[in-house]
Amino acid sequence: MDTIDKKCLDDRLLSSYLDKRLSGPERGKIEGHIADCGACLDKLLVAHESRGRVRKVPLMLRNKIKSRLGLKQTKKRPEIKWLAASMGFFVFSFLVRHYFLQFLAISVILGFKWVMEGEGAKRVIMIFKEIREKEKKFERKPPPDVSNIIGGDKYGKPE
Amino acid sequence: MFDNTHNLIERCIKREEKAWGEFIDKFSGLVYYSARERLRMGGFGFNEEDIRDIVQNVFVDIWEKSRLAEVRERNKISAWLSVVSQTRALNFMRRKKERLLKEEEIPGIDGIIFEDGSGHRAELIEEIEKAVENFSPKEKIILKLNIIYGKTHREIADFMKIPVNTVSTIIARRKKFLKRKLMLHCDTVTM
Repeated sequence: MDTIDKKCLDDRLLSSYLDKRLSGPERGKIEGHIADCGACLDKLLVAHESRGRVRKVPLMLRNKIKSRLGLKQTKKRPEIKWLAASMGFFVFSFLVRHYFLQFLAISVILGFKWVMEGEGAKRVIMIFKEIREKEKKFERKPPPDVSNIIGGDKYGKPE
Repeated sequence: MFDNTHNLIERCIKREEKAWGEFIDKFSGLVYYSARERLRMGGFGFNEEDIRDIVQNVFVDIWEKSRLAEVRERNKISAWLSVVSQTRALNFMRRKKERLLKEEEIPGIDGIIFEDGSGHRAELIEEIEKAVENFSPKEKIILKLNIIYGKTHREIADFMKIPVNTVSTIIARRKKFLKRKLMLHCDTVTM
């Protein structure tokens, strides 16, 4: 739907259609354009649907934008709560001897969670994912199944 | 934290660093989503890196050209920002296409467009464009949204800010008209 019949409307005018602030004739003018211009109708639809469906982008990208604008970058606060909880359970495991192993296990799990929430761990996970995807790309595909072709094998000879 | 978006935009216009940081945190997701969806809808082949470049360029452009000042209703910036990022995404893909053509690194430009049945969609659009030629703009939009984009009556009403009943009436009346026209066309062809 990228057909542009007339000169497309500018971004400000086009987006105002979604903001309920236009008068009848102004609305009519925009409708007159988007009725014949698929590109502008597409833009309006995406803008309309983008409401309430938006998640935050990764911190790395946001920081990249900020650095390009010369702004201070957001530092991710380390999740101290997991570490504190892990240490707490570790201490408990010695205090309540009866449940030593259970508390120790919980302490290990929370400690693991703390490590995995860190930026470094996330970066390592991303690198592994990237490597796996690249490996998948270069994986050899199995030859196509030709057994169900009627009248011959893959060389065209009748069976 | 700022009270609302209006306040945030006002402070961004004054180039307050903290406000810009928050503006990027709050709206980068919207810019990302809009650019990606527009390219997907247009059938462009793109990768994650392209979208990241587009998102960065949108914010740099708004910052350098002080474009936030042109937004009239500051607390309703989402629609404008979404449209701006889509325009940027389309320009980015056009430039990419031109660059590839110049460099001739890739044999043919077809690789940049997905072959996902968009040819069939184009045919459908052409047919509908012809059939609805004499309809009013409102009717054209409603029928296109319903037939081409597969939107429900409620979704169309929400998009165009009109009652659902109006949408339903127009669709029912115009579809009947199109059917009659199509049958007449078939009769003349068979005769």
